[in-house]
Amino acid sequence: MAAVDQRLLWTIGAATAVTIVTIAVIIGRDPLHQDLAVALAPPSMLFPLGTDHLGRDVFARLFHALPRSIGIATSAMAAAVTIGTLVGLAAAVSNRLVDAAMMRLTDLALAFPGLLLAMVLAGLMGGGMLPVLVGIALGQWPQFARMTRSVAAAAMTEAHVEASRLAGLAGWRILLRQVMPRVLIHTASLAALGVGGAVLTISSLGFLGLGLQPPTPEWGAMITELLPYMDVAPVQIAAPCVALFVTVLTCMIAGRRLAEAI
Amino acid sequence: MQRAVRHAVPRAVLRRVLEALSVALILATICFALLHAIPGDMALRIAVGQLGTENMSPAAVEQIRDAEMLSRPLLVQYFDWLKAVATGDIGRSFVSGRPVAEELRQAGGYTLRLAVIAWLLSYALALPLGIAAGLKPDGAIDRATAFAAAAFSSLPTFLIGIALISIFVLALNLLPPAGYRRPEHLVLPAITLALGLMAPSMRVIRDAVAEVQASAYMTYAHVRGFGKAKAFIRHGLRNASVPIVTFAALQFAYLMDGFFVVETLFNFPGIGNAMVSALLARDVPVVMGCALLIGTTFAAISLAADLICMWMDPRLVDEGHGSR
Amino acid sequence: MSRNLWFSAFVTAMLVSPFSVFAQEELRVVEPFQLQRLDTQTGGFQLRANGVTETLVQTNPEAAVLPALAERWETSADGLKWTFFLRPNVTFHDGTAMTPEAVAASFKALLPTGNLIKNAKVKDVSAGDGTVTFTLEQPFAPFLAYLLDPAVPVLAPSSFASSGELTAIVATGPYRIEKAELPQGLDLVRHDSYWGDVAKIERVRVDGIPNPETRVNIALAGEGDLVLEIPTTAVSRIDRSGETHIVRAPVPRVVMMLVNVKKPQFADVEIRRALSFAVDRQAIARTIMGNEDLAANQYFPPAMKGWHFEDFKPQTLNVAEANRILDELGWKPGADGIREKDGTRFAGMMRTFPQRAYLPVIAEALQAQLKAIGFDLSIQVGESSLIPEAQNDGTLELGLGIRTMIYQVPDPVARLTSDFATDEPSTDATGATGWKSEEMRAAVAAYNLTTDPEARLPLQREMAEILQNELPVIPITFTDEKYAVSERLEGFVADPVMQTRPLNHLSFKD
Repeated sequence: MAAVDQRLLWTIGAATAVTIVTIAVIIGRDPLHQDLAVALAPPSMLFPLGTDHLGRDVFARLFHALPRSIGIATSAMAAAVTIGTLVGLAAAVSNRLVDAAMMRLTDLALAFPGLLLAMVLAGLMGGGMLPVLVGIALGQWPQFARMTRSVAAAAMTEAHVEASRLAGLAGWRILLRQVMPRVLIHTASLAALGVGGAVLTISSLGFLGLGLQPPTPEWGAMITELLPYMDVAPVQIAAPCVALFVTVLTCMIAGRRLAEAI
Repeated sequence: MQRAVRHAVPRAVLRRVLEALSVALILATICFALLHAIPGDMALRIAVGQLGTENMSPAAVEQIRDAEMLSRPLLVQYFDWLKAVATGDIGRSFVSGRPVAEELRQAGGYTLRLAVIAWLLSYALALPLGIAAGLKPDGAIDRATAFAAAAFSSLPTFLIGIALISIFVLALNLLPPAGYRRPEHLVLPAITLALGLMAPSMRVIRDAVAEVQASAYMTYAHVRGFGKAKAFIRHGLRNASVPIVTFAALQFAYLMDGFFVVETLFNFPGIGNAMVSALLARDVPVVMGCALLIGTTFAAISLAADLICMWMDPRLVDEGHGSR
Repeated sequence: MSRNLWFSAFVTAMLVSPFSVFAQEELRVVEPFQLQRLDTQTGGFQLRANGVTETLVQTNPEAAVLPALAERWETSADGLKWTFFLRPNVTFHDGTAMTPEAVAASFKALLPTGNLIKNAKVKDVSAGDGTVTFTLEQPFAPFLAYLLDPAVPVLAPSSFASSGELTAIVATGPYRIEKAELPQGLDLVRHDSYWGDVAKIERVRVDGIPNPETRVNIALAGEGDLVLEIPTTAVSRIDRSGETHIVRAPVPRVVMMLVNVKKPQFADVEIRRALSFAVDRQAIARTIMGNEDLAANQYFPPAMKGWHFEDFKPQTLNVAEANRILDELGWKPGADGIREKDGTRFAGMMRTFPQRAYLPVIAEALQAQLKAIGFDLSIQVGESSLIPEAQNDGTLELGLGIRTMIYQVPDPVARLTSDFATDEPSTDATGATGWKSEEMRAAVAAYNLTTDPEARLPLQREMAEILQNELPVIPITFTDEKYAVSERLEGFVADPVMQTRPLNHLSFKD
């Protein structure tokens, strides 16, 4: 377990270092600057990954997209975790009827596909960050609710929790001190996986033309925009694909490592 | 035990059917509320869905408003719909004018066909690989499949689809790029979906198998002198199956998101497409019909999973439900 | 493992068996529209374009009106009565003969559904001896063009139920509908007793595929014989594929910036001129549309004879002039380089939609170009209906839309009326927002009363001039239509006016 933790630390450290270095490199590069005269230029010293169909620096766009995608994914996940944990805890401490009702509600939410919801919100509201965020959060909270409920329910039957209750500790204190930490450990690994999934959803929305608004750099949208130029700009299209893959893979591995660590 | 099964199963089924109906109704109600809560002129959106963006006129918009009686109070519209549903009529599409049931049968049929094939294909791949990995945790196969699973779940469906199109359609010219009328039209969409599905299920299978392998009764079986494979088939398989079946059922229900992307890429006329275009065109009857269908399908699948789990592990019957 | 495979193969075979058998010698047409309903109001355009429906007249690629189901026509001296002499020996798809009574009944049933032809204010249609006569409420010079409203074709009596409701499309064109799988596509079969050139190819399959990249893949794989609306980006790939080649046709369609002139930052026509001066149309046309000649320096494209005027002062790039105008009007650059005046920022949100892939890209280019004159453009891509909604409730700032000038009716005045000379609410992502011009309305009214083509010319010039001077919309670029035509197909000629595909003239090479 210690070895796993150490590897996890290494991964996080390496990711941070890479992020800092790239931020240092791309400072001063404008991802929005266009020069139609150099559209679809091949990689060069000036443009390490070439330019896109509007003559913008693919390298700059690629790395400006990273913090944005991760930021939205993380915020959406934070919202999903908050809603999910609250619903799950409430269900765990409620009587059977309320518990059953809340879990049916959760099942219901599970049945409704999150990507579809985000798409429709984006289509009807006119795109942008908010519908993407809301759609992902609404699609993801049920799994946190289910997990929280089962972990919390299990924890509450355990001997020391019973003991605290008998000792007269207030219900919410028990929740906060003895149930929450355990819920949060499980949440962390699920959330890391969820961030990866959310990055995929953001890119899928971008691919369908319903994600972040242009000219905001976003990998899925970059792939769609450059797809028609696959044969003349292979580097430009490969770059966002690789970036997307590596980012999501990192989240997935981190999530798995966390799960193993528990 | 036998008597308990005989009584518990119908009760569980009845409970789940009632649950399914209420889930479907609530889902449809939420959709109704959602469609009306989002700002914008319903009649105008419907008219765009029906006539296209360049072919509109104020007269057409008003005609739709009249014909579909959109000026009625919302509650009246909602209860009229409920009354019709109670008699088995889920209405006509605002956009196409055809009965919603017919539209859903058509789109749902195509989707079901694709889903079943993709799902079977994914398990045809995932089961042998997952079991092989689980029989020897941390072995070479386990490591390789773990990496493959992580890689595939890090690829968005659209990239898998684009890659398959680039290879099999554009480079090799082996398969058609889009369509739904011929069997070969299903090959690429099904593989695209299956590759995405395979990754998580492979890990679930592996974990379930590994857990069973490590359990006491398997050790006992080894002690009794069964070979590894034989011991697993005789004792492990059934026990490992419960979490796998539960997961597989859930996964089938969650296919929906993948559908929309695949349907868009391959122009496949399925339920994902129908639902999204209906939502965008504010085609209330179709959206609510889709919600009913998704809700009941979801419930039916989890019921089926429960029953299979009960059959495999009768201990679960006592609790009245299987997979939970 | 092998058992799994066998099982899935078995299930696959079981599931796919209901698929229809595919006929190899089918003509495969792929278009971007999906037909939602099999009626003339919704699908009139597609039904006519694919040779199912026809009306009394037709057009040639020069937009001249020619005989079709009517052989000739005459107008009464007061311009109120139009009499059409029907072509004899025309049979409907159900084998019945086309009689004057059937034609009159068809018009009576369909006229109320025509969005465009209602402007002609037809009072009555009556059948005579081999003739059909339309009586108008007031003289209407462009009646022939309006008669081409695709919502009003000539249909057989068997198309209508006894209640008068349209239940089937039984028309006169070279192809009849065999099977409709809505909204995916249509199966058409040859009408053997067609009055004109009987089709050479027996069966046609029309597929509606909205996603442009999917259409491109179909063209690249040789899976379509005639694929419509190929994006510019795919032209070279398709030409190199060896399976298909590209045919270009100039379609009179403009991509334009919609401006809400009620907003303080756009109210002054000089500001709209400044915005227009900031647009590098040549660069947009070259890089995004793939053809520098498509740059739109005025509202009407050069192919529109009598509407495009070479002597107009072109709207071209002149950033210095734009900045001079804005400085003079008192719009001062702020700290962030964006201009301001009396607390109003020189900014606007541009709404556009993704169905035409080039629109969001052009919006991005405009954003960068307008920044050079201190204008802050933000972009919102969503459903196209968001634009007319915002036009009607006054919240639209800017929009990027398209207008096909002679879409459906081969006279630009039909669309000029609904875009620039009406008080009705907006329903299209086109036309003026908050702009009203009495001169424009007077010119449209005068045009509708003028039969003589020579006398119409000054009115046409006046209308084009008003648009050029007042800039209720700012033209950016024209577009051309690109068809991918398979190598096995012969006889395709693009029709830029009505955008029909003369399917009956097509044949397969041996």
